Amino acid sequence: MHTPSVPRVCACLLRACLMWHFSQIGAESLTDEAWDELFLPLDGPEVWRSVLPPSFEANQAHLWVRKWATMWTEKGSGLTTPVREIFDTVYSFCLASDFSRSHLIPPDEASCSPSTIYSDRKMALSFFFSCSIAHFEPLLRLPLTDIESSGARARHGHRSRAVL
Amino acid sequence: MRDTATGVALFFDPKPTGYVSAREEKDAKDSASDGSGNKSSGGGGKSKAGREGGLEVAVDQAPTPANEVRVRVKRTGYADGVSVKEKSEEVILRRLKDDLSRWAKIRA
Repeated sequence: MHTPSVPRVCACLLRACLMWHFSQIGAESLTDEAWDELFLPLDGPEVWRSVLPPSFEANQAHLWVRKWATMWTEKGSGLTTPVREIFDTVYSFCLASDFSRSHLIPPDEASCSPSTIYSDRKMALSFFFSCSIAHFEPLLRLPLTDIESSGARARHGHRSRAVL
Repeated sequence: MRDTATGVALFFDPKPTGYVSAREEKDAKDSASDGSGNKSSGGGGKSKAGREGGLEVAVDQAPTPANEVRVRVKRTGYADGVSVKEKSEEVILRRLKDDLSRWAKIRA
């Protein structure tokens, strides 16, 4: 019997947990964009965000971030693990009108059946609790790199080496 | 499709320790016996950037009526089994918060 990968099990559990959670709060009225927004912090996962004042433009902020980032490759940056490479990233998010096309779940993972979910009950339970007890907050402190997976990274579009 | 996000990704690369695992030692021996060996290879000096994780700083617009610009930081590039570089992440995030708020004040 084929054993599902950890990312596949995580993705399926995440989908199940979130569907259950949002069905409890009456999320049927959410638009696709709102669903995307709810899932966005799980991509990575996201560890921090800040909203700039209304007068700021995205281009200016991007230029500032690019310039700001170069300082980390210089000597004496104070990092325990130094930064060696900086890449420019350009990507766009797919619409996630259904879960099988969400950027969280690679297409080859979307056909995961419930029977495969239960193949690893221990992980299923721990993951379920981490999702349901306090929504998404605990996930931000976990190295959920498995969920990101190579498939999700590939959909970021193209990356180009820029600075070094 | 929706808003395109742009930003930068910073990839960590641990300092070379000089430690060579048994597998790397064996690979080095094999390649040396083949005559195709790269004498400088062998773990210590190899860059692991891209597999040792990193932080991606993305700039995009919130899907709200005001379309505010936002800066989001997320983890990226962690290979399976690689530990999260929490100390380094903290330093980068702290600096980003300070510098961004300073920049916002100056621009405002």
